[in-house]
Amino acid sequence: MCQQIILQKLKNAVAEMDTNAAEEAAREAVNQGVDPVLAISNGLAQGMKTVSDLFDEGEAFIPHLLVAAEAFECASAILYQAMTKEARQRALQGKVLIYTVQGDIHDIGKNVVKTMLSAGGFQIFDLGRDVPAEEVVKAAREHKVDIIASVALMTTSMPIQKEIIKLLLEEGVRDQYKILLGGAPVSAEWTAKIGADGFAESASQAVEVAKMLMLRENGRLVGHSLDNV
Amino acid sequence: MNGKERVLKTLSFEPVDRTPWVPYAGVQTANLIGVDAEEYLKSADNIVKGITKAYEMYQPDGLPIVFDIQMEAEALGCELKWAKNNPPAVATHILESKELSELKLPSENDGRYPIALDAARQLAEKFGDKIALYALICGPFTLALHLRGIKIFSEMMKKKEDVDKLMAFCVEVGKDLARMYAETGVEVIAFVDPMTSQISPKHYERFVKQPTLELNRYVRNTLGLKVTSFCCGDSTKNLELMCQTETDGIAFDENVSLAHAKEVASKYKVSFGGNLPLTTVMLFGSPIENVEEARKEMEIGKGTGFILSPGCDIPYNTPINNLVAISNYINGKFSSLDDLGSAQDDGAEDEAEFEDVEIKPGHVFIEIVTLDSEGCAPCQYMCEAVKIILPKYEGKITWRESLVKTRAGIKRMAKLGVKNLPAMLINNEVVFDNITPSEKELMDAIEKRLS
Repeated sequence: MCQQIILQKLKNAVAEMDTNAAEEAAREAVNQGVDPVLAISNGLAQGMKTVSDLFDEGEAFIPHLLVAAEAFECASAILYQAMTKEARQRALQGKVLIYTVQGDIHDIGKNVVKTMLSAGGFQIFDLGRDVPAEEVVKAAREHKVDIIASVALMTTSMPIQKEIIKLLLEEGVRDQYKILLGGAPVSAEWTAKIGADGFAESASQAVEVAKMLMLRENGRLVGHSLDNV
Repeated sequence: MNGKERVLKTLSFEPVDRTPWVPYAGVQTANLIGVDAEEYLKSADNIVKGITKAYEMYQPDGLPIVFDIQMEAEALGCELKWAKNNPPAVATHILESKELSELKLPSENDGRYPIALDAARQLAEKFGDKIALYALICGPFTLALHLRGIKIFSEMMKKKEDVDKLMAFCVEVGKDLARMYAETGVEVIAFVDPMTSQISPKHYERFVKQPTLELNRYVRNTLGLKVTSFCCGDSTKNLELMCQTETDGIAFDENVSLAHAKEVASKYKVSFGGNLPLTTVMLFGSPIENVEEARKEMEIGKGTGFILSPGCDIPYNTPINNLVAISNYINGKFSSLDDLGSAQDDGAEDEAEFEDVEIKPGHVFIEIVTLDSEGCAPCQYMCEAVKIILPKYEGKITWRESLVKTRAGIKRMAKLGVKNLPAMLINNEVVFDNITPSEKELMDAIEKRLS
């Protein structure tokens, strides 16, 4: 079967939030020898993008995103299994550690961002919610991540985002990671203020910012010094 | 016409003498009496004290009794995570470990029901003839989400009947609690369902509309009380459907256009309330900005049916003066900042005035007008920005923070012509208005004045 048709099937299955169809299309892609990396990036991820764009436009809602994410994850697991080590490396945009800050147990938004980043080619390590900064630094070291995505959903939990930066600076490893912020109250001003590297207002924007951070070699928004935190 | 009559008439979509004012003082009332959210929400005495204080300070036409939409979930077995300055959040979802058939409808004695009911009883006795007391009940959809967890979203597509059963259970929980509250003497039952802002109109129609209609009919027809529907978050798309649930009033957040809500609600002769911005204006804005926002909203909302309220539960650290300013304005007592200043509490009487500082050549005076650098993050960062550069200009800079929460601070703010908070003035001139400067921007501004 034409590769293009299979890619379209993968995209449609996710866009239509049909997990069974997505898994079936993924198996078909593997059997027909479609490059799994391509099947994810040009098939499944495109379906996720369709739903995410509709969400940003107010035409799709949280349930749609979550069910599309489920279809994406089930199908991508099949494709991932079929990848060679080299292909997995080639597909990888970067490694992201994501968590909701200590004191904040809201995680619906974080989970949506996680899936979108995964659809965008990032390997995700999810520490869950209500996570102390010490645990984040430990996990960042262990998994050798590129980006630490810190999520805070409340005005009262947002200040905790600076804890991670403070800790990284104290341990002298701040420059080893890019810090991406997210959550309803987070703004560009706040990001600059605490010396993070970027922030995203929506899940789809998170993917773009994460890709940008991976490309950027120099020039964080503000200098790193303990004075800033 | 007193506050209670004003609110009840408005909820009947009848004209009143002026816009009713219902500040959703939830955990913020804990701050009024100097306790944290947990100490407040776990004590009927604290709730009564807090609401009494809010009644005295905010001159409201109506007040909510307990703004905690986790109480029902807790009574049903969900664990909560408590915070000092927020209502608690649901940490575990009981239906992840139990079947729906195993859950028992809460009685008057379960969870914190006795606390809320006791507080309602005392407050109804105290203020029931003066203001409209709102008893808030979670759900039905948000309660279903609390009980089931995030899985409910996929079940809305894949296991619709399971969601219907769960919603039916939540309707029973809501009816029971409404009946218990009715017995305490409250006048208004408000069903608070913020998570409906996260679902499509199609899903609202399929899963939420009928259960909400059933609840509203029960409150109106069986209990003979007024019923309103609160939805924090962006409920624009579901607003019309909310109006079709035979509710007496809808209340919505700042994301919703008041003009649009007025148009939709008026069509159904449903009262509409909102939508003072919680953080940008109420939490971080100045008293002037709050009054201006209230004035603007009253201009848009005027006519039958409008109730001036915050978009949702007022944040814990919201400056009291912001609420007092709106209250004074709506009650016709406010005409200038000086008036507002004199309305502060007696404790402020003895406070030192903020004197002018003489500007000498080769020296700068930096003044930061804040709400309170300990409670307001932008204020804190503006102060920190100055502290960081101080060592570089030893002996050349004098700086101070002028808190607008004090009477002296309010006078100072008016004198300096400061409109937004926080604001940084250099040599008595507003240089950074509501924006924390970078180190370089601040140093440039200082150098310019030193030379």
